[in-house]
Amino acid sequence: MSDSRGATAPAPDALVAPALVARARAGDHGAFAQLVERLQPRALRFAARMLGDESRDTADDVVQDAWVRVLRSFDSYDARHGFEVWFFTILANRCRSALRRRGLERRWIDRIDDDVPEVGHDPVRQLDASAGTAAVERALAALPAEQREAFLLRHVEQLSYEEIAVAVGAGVSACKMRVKRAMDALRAHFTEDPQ
Amino acid sequence: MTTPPDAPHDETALVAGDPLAAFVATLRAEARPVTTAQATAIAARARLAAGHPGTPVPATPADTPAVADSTAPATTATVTALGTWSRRLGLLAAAALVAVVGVRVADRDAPPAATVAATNTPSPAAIDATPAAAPLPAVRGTADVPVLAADARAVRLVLDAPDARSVHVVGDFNGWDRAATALEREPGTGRWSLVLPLAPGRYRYAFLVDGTTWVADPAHERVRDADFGQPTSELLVEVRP
Repeated sequence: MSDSRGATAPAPDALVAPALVARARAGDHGAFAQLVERLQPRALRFAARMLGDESRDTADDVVQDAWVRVLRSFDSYDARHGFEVWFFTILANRCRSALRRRGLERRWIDRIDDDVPEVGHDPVRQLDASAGTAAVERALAALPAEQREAFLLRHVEQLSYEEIAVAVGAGVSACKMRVKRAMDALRAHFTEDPQ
Repeated sequence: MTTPPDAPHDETALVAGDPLAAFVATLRAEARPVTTAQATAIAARARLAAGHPGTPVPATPADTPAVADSTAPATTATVTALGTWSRRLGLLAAAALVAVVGVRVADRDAPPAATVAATNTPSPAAIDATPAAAPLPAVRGTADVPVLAADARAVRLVLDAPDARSVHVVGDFNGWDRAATALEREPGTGRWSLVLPLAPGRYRYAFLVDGTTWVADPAHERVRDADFGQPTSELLVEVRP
Protein backbone atom coordinates (compact mmCIF):
# COMPACT_ATOMS: atom_id res chain seq x y z
CA MET A 1 0.00 0.00 0.00
CA SER A 2 1.37 3.33 -0.94
CA ASP A 3 1.84 6.16 1.48
CA SER A 4 0.73 8.64 -1.12
CA ARG A 5 -2.82 8.78 0.12
CA GLY A 6 -3.88 12.13 1.39
CA ALA A 7 -3.10 12.70 5.02
CA THR A 8 -6.69 13.59 5.75
CA ALA A 9 -8.07 10.53 4.05
CA PRO A 10 -8.37 7.31 6.01
CA ALA A 11 -6.58 4.24 4.78
CA PRO A 12 -8.80 1.73 2.98
CA ASP A 13 -8.86 -0.66 5.87
CA ALA A 14 -10.12 2.11 8.10
CA LEU A 15 -13.06 2.42 5.77
CA VAL A 16 -13.57 -1.23 5.05
CA ALA A 17 -12.08 -3.60 7.56
CA PRO A 18 -10.89 -6.95 6.21
CA ALA A 19 -13.05 -8.70 8.78
CA LEU A 20 -16.12 -6.97 7.39
CA VAL A 21 -15.21 -8.05 3.87
CA ALA A 22 -14.64 -11.59 5.07
CA ARG A 23 -18.08 -11.67 6.67
CA ALA A 24 -19.68 -10.31 3.52
CA ARG A 25 -17.88 -12.92 1.42
CA ALA A 26 -19.17 -15.61 3.73
CA GLY A 27 -22.73 -14.55 2.99
CA ASP A 28 -23.43 -12.20 5.89
CA HIS A 29 -26.10 -9.90 4.50
CA GLY A 30 -25.60 -7.31 7.18
CA ALA A 31 -21.90 -7.10 6.47
CA PHE A 32 -22.56 -6.68 2.77
CA ALA A 33 -25.03 -3.90 3.51
CA GLN A 34 -22.36 -2.20 5.60
CA LEU A 35 -19.98 -2.36 2.67
CA VAL A 36 -22.63 -0.72 0.56
CA GLU A 37 -23.30 1.95 3.15
CA ARG A 38 -19.65 2.85 3.43
CA LEU A 39 -18.78 2.95 -0.24
CA GLN A 40 -22.03 3.96 -1.93
CA PRO A 41 -21.53 7.72 -1.47
CA ARG A 42 -18.12 7.64 -3.08
CA ALA A 43 -19.28 5.22 -5.74
CA LEU A 44 -22.13 7.49 -6.79
CA ARG A 45 -19.86 10.50 -6.74
CA PHE A 46 -17.37 8.79 -9.00
CA ALA A 47 -19.92 7.28 -11.39
CA ALA A 48 -21.86 10.52 -11.71
CA ARG A 49 -18.75 12.37 -12.73
CA MET A 50 -17.60 9.64 -15.06
CA LEU A 51 -20.93 9.30 -16.82
CA GLY A 52 -22.57 12.70 -16.58
CA ASP A 53 -26.28 12.92 -16.00
CA GLU A 54 -27.34 12.49 -19.60
CA SER A 55 -26.63 8.82 -19.49
CA ARG A 56 -29.12 6.07 -20.13
CA ASP A 57 -26.97 4.22 -17.67
CA THR A 58 -27.45 6.48 -14.73
CA ALA A 59 -24.86 6.54 -12.02
CA ASP A 60 -27.30 4.70 -9.80
CA ASP A 61 -27.70 1.90 -12.28
CA VAL A 62 -24.00 1.52 -12.86
CA VAL A 63 -23.20 1.50 -9.16
CA GLN A 64 -25.95 -1.01 -8.54
CA ASP A 65 -24.48 -3.22 -11.23
CA ALA A 66 -21.08 -2.88 -9.62
CA TRP A 67 -22.47 -4.31 -6.39
CA VAL A 68 -23.93 -7.22 -8.33
CA ARG A 69 -20.50 -7.85 -9.79
CA VAL A 70 -18.98 -7.71 -6.35
CA LEU A 71 -21.25 -10.50 -5.20
CA ARG A 72 -20.60 -12.59 -8.26
CA SER A 73 -16.87 -12.11 -8.04
CA PHE A 74 -16.30 -12.37 -4.33
CA ASP A 75 -14.51 -15.69 -4.74
CA SER A 76 -11.82 -14.04 -6.81
CA TYR A 77 -11.46 -11.05 -4.49
CA ASP A 78 -7.84 -9.99 -4.32
CA ALA A 79 -7.17 -8.63 -0.86
CA ARG A 80 -3.70 -7.35 -1.60
CA HIS A 81 -4.89 -3.84 -2.28
CA GLY A 82 -7.92 -3.81 -0.06
CA PHE A 83 -11.61 -3.92 -0.82
CA GLU A 84 -11.83 -0.26 -1.71
CA VAL A 85 -9.40 -0.64 -4.62
CA TRP A 86 -11.04 -3.87 -5.75
CA PHE A 87 -14.43 -2.22 -5.70
CA PHE A 88 -13.26 0.81 -7.64
CA THR A 89 -11.70 -1.54 -10.17
CA ILE A 90 -15.09 -3.08 -10.75
CA LEU A 91 -16.88 0.26 -10.72
CA ALA A 92 -14.44 1.83 -13.15
CA ASN A 93 -15.01 -1.12 -15.46
CA ARG A 94 -18.73 -0.63 -15.27
CA CYS A 95 -18.37 3.05 -16.06
CA ARG A 96 -16.13 2.25 -19.02
CA SER A 97 -18.58 -0.26 -20.27
CA ALA A 98 -21.43 2.22 -19.99
CA LEU A 99 -19.46 4.86 -21.82
CA ARG A 100 -18.56 2.50 -24.58
CA ARG A 101 -21.95 0.92 -24.89
CA ARG A 102 -23.89 4.10 -25.13
CA GLY A 103 -21.42 6.30 -26.84
CA LEU A 104 -22.20 8.42 -23.87
CA GLU A 105 -19.03 10.41 -23.75
CA ARG A 106 -19.41 11.79 -27.20
CA ARG A 107 -23.01 12.80 -26.58
CA TRP A 108 -22.09 14.31 -23.25
CA ILE A 109 -19.32 16.40 -24.72
CA ASP A 110 -21.53 17.48 -27.57
CA ARG A 111 -24.17 18.59 -25.15
CA ILE A 112 -21.95 20.54 -22.84
CA ASP A 113 -20.36 22.33 -25.75
CA ASP A 114 -23.70 23.99 -26.27
CA ASP A 115 -25.04 24.29 -22.81
CA VAL A 116 -23.93 24.74 -19.25
CA PRO A 117 -25.02 21.73 -17.21
CA GLU A 118 -28.14 22.27 -15.20
CA VAL A 119 -27.33 22.08 -11.55
CA GLY A 120 -29.09 21.74 -8.28
CA HIS A 121 -31.75 19.17 -9.17
CA ASP A 122 -29.73 16.09 -8.40
CA PRO A 123 -28.29 15.54 -4.95
CA VAL A 124 -25.39 13.68 -6.47
CA ARG A 125 -24.53 16.63 -8.57
CA GLN A 126 -25.06 19.59 -6.31
CA LEU A 127 -22.58 21.73 -8.09
CA ASP A 128 -21.13 25.09 -7.42
CA ALA A 129 -22.90 27.11 -10.05
CA SER A 130 -20.43 29.93 -10.16
CA ALA A 131 -19.30 30.75 -13.64
CA GLY A 132 -15.71 29.82 -12.91
CA THR A 133 -16.60 26.46 -11.53
CA ALA A 134 -19.03 25.82 -14.34
CA ALA A 135 -16.24 26.26 -16.85
CA VAL A 136 -14.12 23.72 -15.06
CA GLU A 137 -17.11 21.43 -14.73
CA ARG A 138 -17.39 21.45 -18.48
CA ALA A 139 -13.69 20.90 -18.83
CA LEU A 140 -13.83 17.93 -16.49
CA ALA A 141 -16.67 16.37 -18.44
CA ALA A 142 -14.85 16.99 -21.69
CA LEU A 143 -11.63 15.32 -20.61
CA PRO A 144 -10.74 12.05 -22.30
CA ALA A 145 -12.32 9.35 -20.21
CA GLU A 146 -9.02 7.87 -19.10
CA GLN A 147 -7.85 11.26 -17.83
CA ARG A 148 -11.09 12.00 -16.06
CA GLU A 149 -11.01 8.56 -14.51
CA ALA A 150 -7.45 8.94 -13.25
CA PHE A 151 -8.04 12.48 -12.00
CA LEU A 152 -11.15 11.48 -10.06
CA LEU A 153 -9.52 8.42 -8.55
CA ARG A 154 -6.45 10.38 -7.50
CA HIS A 155 -7.79 13.66 -6.24
CA VAL A 156 -11.41 12.99 -5.42
CA GLU A 157 -11.30 9.37 -4.29
CA GLN A 158 -7.75 9.86 -3.05
CA LEU A 159 -6.33 6.57 -4.18
CA SER A 160 -2.59 6.29 -4.45
CA TYR A 161 -1.04 5.97 -7.87
CA GLU A 162 -0.22 2.36 -7.14
CA GLU A 163 -3.87 1.74 -6.35
CA ILE A 164 -5.03 3.62 -9.43
CA ALA A 165 -2.70 1.53 -11.55
CA VAL A 166 -4.37 -1.59 -10.22
CA ALA A 167 -7.84 -0.16 -10.69
CA VAL A 168 -7.41 0.95 -14.28
CA GLY A 169 -4.91 -1.64 -15.43
CA ALA A 170 -2.23 0.82 -16.45
CA GLY A 171 1.24 1.60 -15.21
CA VAL A 172 1.92 4.07 -12.45
CA SER A 173 3.71 6.42 -14.82
CA ALA A 174 0.83 6.35 -17.25
CA CYS A 175 -1.59 7.12 -14.46
CA LYS A 176 0.49 10.06 -13.31
CA MET A 177 0.63 11.35 -16.84
CA ARG A 178 -3.13 11.11 -17.18
CA VAL A 179 -3.64 13.02 -13.97
CA LYS A 180 -1.09 15.63 -14.99
CA ARG A 181 -2.77 16.18 -18.34
CA ALA A 182 -6.16 16.39 -16.71
CA MET A 183 -4.92 18.99 -14.25
CA ASP A 184 -3.31 21.01 -17.00
CA ALA A 185 -6.54 21.01 -18.95
CA LEU A 186 -8.60 22.01 -15.94
CA ARG A 187 -6.21 24.75 -14.92
CA ALA A 188 -6.39 26.20 -18.41
CA HIS A 189 -10.09 26.73 -17.89
CA PHE A 190 -9.50 28.52 -14.61
CA THR A 191 -7.21 30.81 -16.47
CA GLU A 192 -9.69 31.36 -19.25
CA ASP A 193 -12.59 32.06 -16.93
CA PRO A 194 -11.34 33.71 -13.75
CA GLN A 195 -14.79 34.55 -12.36
CA MET B 1 -8.64 20.17 1.26
CA THR B 2 -5.36 19.38 -0.38
CA THR B 3 -3.62 16.21 -1.28
CA PRO B 4 -0.06 15.84 -0.12
CA PRO B 5 2.44 15.03 -2.80
CA ASP B 6 3.46 11.49 -3.60
CA ALA B 7 7.03 12.61 -3.80
CA PRO B 8 8.90 15.84 -3.13
CA HIS B 9 8.48 16.93 -6.74
CA ASP B 10 5.14 15.44 -7.57
CA GLU B 11 3.77 17.48 -10.43
CA THR B 12 0.25 16.35 -9.72
CA ALA B 13 0.10 17.46 -6.11
CA LEU B 14 -2.45 20.04 -5.08
CA VAL B 15 -1.31 22.80 -2.80
CA ALA B 16 -3.11 25.34 -0.70
CA GLY B 17 -4.23 28.33 -2.72
CA ASP B 18 -4.39 26.34 -5.93
CA PRO B 19 -7.79 27.08 -7.49
CA LEU B 20 -7.88 23.50 -8.64
CA ALA B 21 -7.66 22.38 -5.01
CA ALA B 22 -10.80 24.33 -4.26
CA PHE B 23 -12.52 22.71 -7.21
CA VAL B 24 -11.44 19.28 -6.00
CA ALA B 25 -12.87 20.07 -2.59
CA THR B 26 -16.17 20.83 -4.30
CA LEU B 27 -16.08 17.50 -6.06
CA ARG B 28 -15.32 15.65 -2.87
CA ALA B 29 -18.27 17.31 -1.19
CA GLU B 30 -20.60 15.68 -3.72
CA ALA B 31 -20.55 12.43 -1.77
CA ARG B 32 -23.89 12.08 -0.04
CA PRO B 33 -24.28 9.58 2.79
CA VAL B 34 -26.85 6.86 2.39
CA THR B 35 -28.92 5.63 5.26
CA THR B 36 -28.66 2.13 6.60
CA ALA B 37 -32.10 1.41 5.19
CA GLN B 38 -31.05 2.62 1.77
CA ALA B 39 -27.88 0.57 1.88
CA THR B 40 -29.82 -2.49 2.94
CA ALA B 41 -32.19 -2.05 0.02
CA ILE B 42 -29.33 -1.60 -2.44
CA ALA B 43 -27.63 -4.70 -1.05
CA ALA B 44 -30.83 -6.71 -1.32
CA ARG B 45 -31.34 -5.71 -4.93
CA ALA B 46 -27.76 -6.65 -5.70
CA ARG B 47 -28.18 -10.05 -4.06
CA LEU B 48 -31.32 -10.67 -6.05
CA ALA B 49 -29.69 -9.70 -9.32
CA ALA B 50 -26.64 -11.79 -8.51
CA GLY B 51 -28.73 -14.80 -7.73
CA HIS B 52 -28.02 -14.64 -4.01
CA PRO B 53 -31.42 -13.91 -2.50
CA GLY B 54 -32.77 -15.16 0.77
CA THR B 55 -30.99 -15.90 3.97
CA PRO B 56 -27.22 -16.16 3.98
CA VAL B 57 -26.28 -18.02 0.89
CA PRO B 58 -22.71 -18.82 0.02
CA ALA B 59 -21.53 -17.52 -3.28
CA THR B 60 -22.81 -19.71 -6.06
CA PRO B 61 -19.83 -21.31 -7.77
CA ALA B 62 -21.27 -20.83 -11.21
CA ASP B 63 -21.71 -17.12 -10.56
CA THR B 64 -18.32 -16.47 -9.13
CA PRO B 65 -15.59 -15.98 -11.65
CA ALA B 66 -12.68 -17.98 -10.44
CA VAL B 67 -9.05 -17.66 -11.20
CA ALA B 68 -8.25 -20.38 -13.66
CA ASP B 69 -6.65 -23.31 -11.94
CA SER B 70 -4.85 -25.86 -14.02
CA THR B 71 -5.10 -28.35 -11.20
CA ALA B 72 -8.87 -28.31 -11.15
CA PRO B 73 -10.62 -31.11 -12.95
CA ALA B 74 -11.60 -29.95 -16.39
CA THR B 75 -15.02 -31.48 -16.06
CA THR B 76 -15.77 -29.39 -13.02
CA ALA B 77 -14.92 -26.20 -14.78
CA THR B 78 -16.91 -27.21 -17.80
CA VAL B 79 -19.99 -28.10 -15.86
CA THR B 80 -19.74 -24.89 -13.89
CA ALA B 81 -19.44 -22.80 -16.97
CA LEU B 82 -22.21 -24.61 -18.74
CA GLY B 83 -24.42 -24.02 -15.77
CA THR B 84 -23.72 -20.34 -16.02
CA TRP B 85 -24.45 -20.28 -19.69
CA SER B 86 -27.62 -22.22 -19.47
CA ARG B 87 -29.03 -19.99 -16.78
CA ARG B 88 -27.87 -16.71 -18.19
CA LEU B 89 -28.60 -17.31 -21.78
CA GLY B 90 -31.13 -20.04 -22.01
CA LEU B 91 -29.71 -20.35 -25.46
CA LEU B 92 -27.07 -22.98 -25.18
CA ALA B 93 -29.11 -25.40 -27.21
CA ALA B 94 -29.58 -22.83 -29.90
CA ALA B 95 -25.91 -22.07 -29.90
CA ALA B 96 -25.00 -25.72 -30.17
CA LEU B 97 -25.60 -25.65 -33.86
CA VAL B 98 -23.23 -23.04 -35.01
CA ALA B 99 -22.45 -21.77 -38.41
CA VAL B 100 -19.05 -20.71 -39.53
CA VAL B 101 -17.67 -17.82 -37.66
CA GLY B 102 -15.82 -15.20 -39.56
CA VAL B 103 -13.36 -13.41 -37.41
CA ARG B 104 -11.34 -10.50 -38.49
CA VAL B 105 -8.90 -8.81 -36.23
CA ALA B 106 -7.56 -5.41 -37.04
CA ASP B 107 -4.27 -4.20 -35.80
CA ARG B 108 -2.52 -0.92 -36.20
CA ASP B 109 -0.45 -0.44 -33.10
CA ALA B 110 2.85 -1.30 -31.60
CA PRO B 111 3.50 -4.76 -30.16
CA PRO B 112 2.87 -5.47 -26.50
CA ALA B 113 5.42 -4.58 -23.89
CA ALA B 114 8.45 -6.81 -23.68
CA THR B 115 7.37 -8.30 -20.40
CA VAL B 116 4.18 -9.37 -22.01
CA ALA B 117 5.69 -10.58 -25.22
CA ALA B 118 8.03 -12.80 -23.26
CA THR B 119 5.18 -14.84 -21.93
CA ASN B 120 2.80 -14.73 -24.85
CA THR B 121 3.83 -16.45 -27.99
CA PRO B 122 1.56 -15.67 -30.89
CA SER B 123 -0.68 -18.58 -31.58
CA PRO B 124 -1.92 -19.33 -35.07
CA ALA B 125 -5.09 -20.62 -33.52
CA ALA B 126 -5.75 -17.64 -31.35
CA ILE B 127 -9.23 -17.32 -32.72
CA ASP B 128 -10.64 -20.33 -34.44
CA ALA B 129 -13.54 -20.54 -36.74
CA THR B 130 -15.87 -23.29 -35.72
CA PRO B 131 -16.87 -25.63 -38.52
CA ALA B 132 -20.38 -25.35 -39.78
CA ALA B 133 -22.96 -27.34 -37.89
CA ALA B 134 -20.40 -28.48 -35.36
CA PRO B 135 -21.62 -28.78 -31.81
CA LEU B 136 -20.65 -25.96 -29.56
CA PRO B 137 -17.47 -26.98 -27.81
CA ALA B 138 -17.56 -27.22 -24.09
CA VAL B 139 -17.19 -23.79 -22.61
CA ARG B 140 -14.00 -23.77 -20.67
CA GLY B 141 -13.22 -21.56 -17.77
CA THR B 142 -15.86 -19.40 -16.27
CA ALA B 143 -17.88 -16.98 -18.22
CA ASP B 144 -20.31 -14.20 -17.52
CA VAL B 145 -21.48 -12.75 -20.76
CA PRO B 146 -24.64 -10.79 -21.36
CA VAL B 147 -27.59 -12.23 -23.19
CA LEU B 148 -26.84 -13.29 -26.70
CA ALA B 149 -28.99 -13.62 -29.72
CA ALA B 150 -30.18 -17.04 -30.76
CA ASP B 151 -27.75 -16.95 -33.65
CA ALA B 152 -24.75 -16.95 -31.35
CA ARG B 153 -21.55 -18.35 -32.80
CA ALA B 154 -18.73 -20.12 -31.08
CA VAL B 155 -15.52 -18.15 -30.95
CA ARG B 156 -12.41 -19.70 -29.44
CA LEU B 157 -9.91 -17.40 -27.81
CA VAL B 158 -6.43 -18.68 -27.08
CA LEU B 159 -3.45 -17.14 -25.37
CA ASP B 160 -0.08 -18.79 -24.85
CA ALA B 161 1.00 -17.60 -21.44
CA PRO B 162 2.98 -20.37 -19.73
CA ASP B 163 3.98 -18.24 -16.77
CA ALA B 164 0.57 -16.81 -16.08
CA ARG B 165 -1.35 -17.67 -12.97
CA SER B 166 -4.63 -16.56 -14.47
CA VAL B 167 -5.91 -15.21 -17.75
CA HIS B 168 -9.20 -13.44 -18.22
CA VAL B 169 -10.72 -11.85 -21.25
CA VAL B 170 -12.34 -8.45 -21.01
CA GLY B 171 -14.39 -7.01 -23.80
CA ASP B 172 -17.58 -5.55 -25.09
CA PHE B 173 -19.25 -8.92 -24.59
CA ASN B 174 -18.77 -8.96 -20.83
CA GLY B 175 -18.83 -5.30 -19.97
CA TRP B 176 -15.06 -5.18 -19.62
CA ASP B 177 -15.40 -6.94 -16.34
CA ARG B 178 -11.98 -8.08 -15.25
CA ALA B 179 -13.23 -10.97 -13.21
CA ALA B 180 -16.13 -12.20 -15.29
CA THR B 181 -14.61 -14.42 -17.94
CA ALA B 182 -11.65 -16.65 -17.23
CA LEU B 183 -9.70 -18.71 -19.71
CA GLU B 184 -8.66 -22.17 -18.62
CA ARG B 185 -5.17 -23.53 -18.90
CA GLU B 186 -5.05 -26.51 -21.20
CA PRO B 187 -3.57 -29.40 -19.23
CA GLY B 188 0.14 -29.91 -19.74
CA THR B 189 0.59 -26.78 -21.80
CA GLY B 190 1.08 -23.06 -21.34
CA ARG B 191 -1.95 -22.39 -23.44
CA TRP B 192 -5.08 -20.81 -22.06
CA SER B 193 -8.30 -21.02 -23.96
CA LEU B 194 -11.97 -20.28 -23.85
CA VAL B 195 -14.87 -20.75 -26.21
CA LEU B 196 -17.40 -17.95 -26.22
CA PRO B 197 -20.76 -18.02 -27.92
CA LEU B 198 -21.04 -14.57 -29.44
CA ALA B 199 -23.81 -13.07 -31.44
CA PRO B 200 -22.82 -11.62 -34.80
CA GLY B 201 -21.29 -8.24 -34.30
CA ARG B 202 -18.07 -6.37 -33.75
CA TYR B 203 -16.33 -6.74 -30.44
CA ARG B 204 -13.30 -5.19 -28.86
CA TYR B 205 -11.49 -7.25 -26.31
CA ALA B 206 -8.20 -7.87 -24.58
CA PHE B 207 -6.65 -10.43 -22.29
CA LEU B 208 -5.88 -9.68 -18.69
CA VAL B 209 -2.95 -11.71 -17.39
CA ASP B 210 -2.66 -12.27 -13.66
CA GLY B 211 -5.32 -9.66 -13.11
CA THR B 212 -3.06 -6.76 -13.90
CA THR B 213 -1.39 -7.00 -17.29
CA TRP B 214 -3.54 -5.90 -20.18
CA VAL B 215 -2.60 -7.76 -23.37
CA ALA B 216 -4.02 -7.45 -26.83
CA ASP B 217 -4.34 -10.74 -28.63
CA PRO B 218 -0.69 -11.27 -29.60
CA ALA B 219 -1.55 -13.43 -32.58
CA HIS B 220 -3.31 -10.57 -34.21
CA GLU B 221 -2.98 -6.92 -34.77
CA ARG B 222 -4.30 -4.50 -32.28
CA VAL B 223 -6.44 -1.43 -32.26
CA ARG B 224 -5.88 1.27 -29.78
CA ASP B 225 -8.83 1.91 -27.60
CA ALA B 226 -10.00 5.44 -28.24
CA ASP B 227 -11.25 6.02 -24.74
CA PHE B 228 -8.72 4.43 -22.48
CA GLY B 229 -5.57 3.96 -24.52
CA GLN B 230 -5.19 0.28 -23.76
CA PRO B 231 -4.02 -2.19 -26.38
CA THR B 232 -7.13 -3.86 -27.62
CA SER B 233 -8.04 -6.34 -30.29
CA GLU B 234 -11.13 -6.27 -32.38
CA LEU B 235 -13.03 -9.17 -33.79
CA LEU B 236 -15.96 -9.35 -36.09
CA VAL B 237 -18.35 -12.24 -35.74
CA GLU B 238 -20.36 -12.59 -38.86
CA VAL B 239 -22.70 -15.15 -40.32
CA ARG B 240 -21.40 -16.86 -43.38
CA PRO B 241 -24.18 -17.28 -45.94
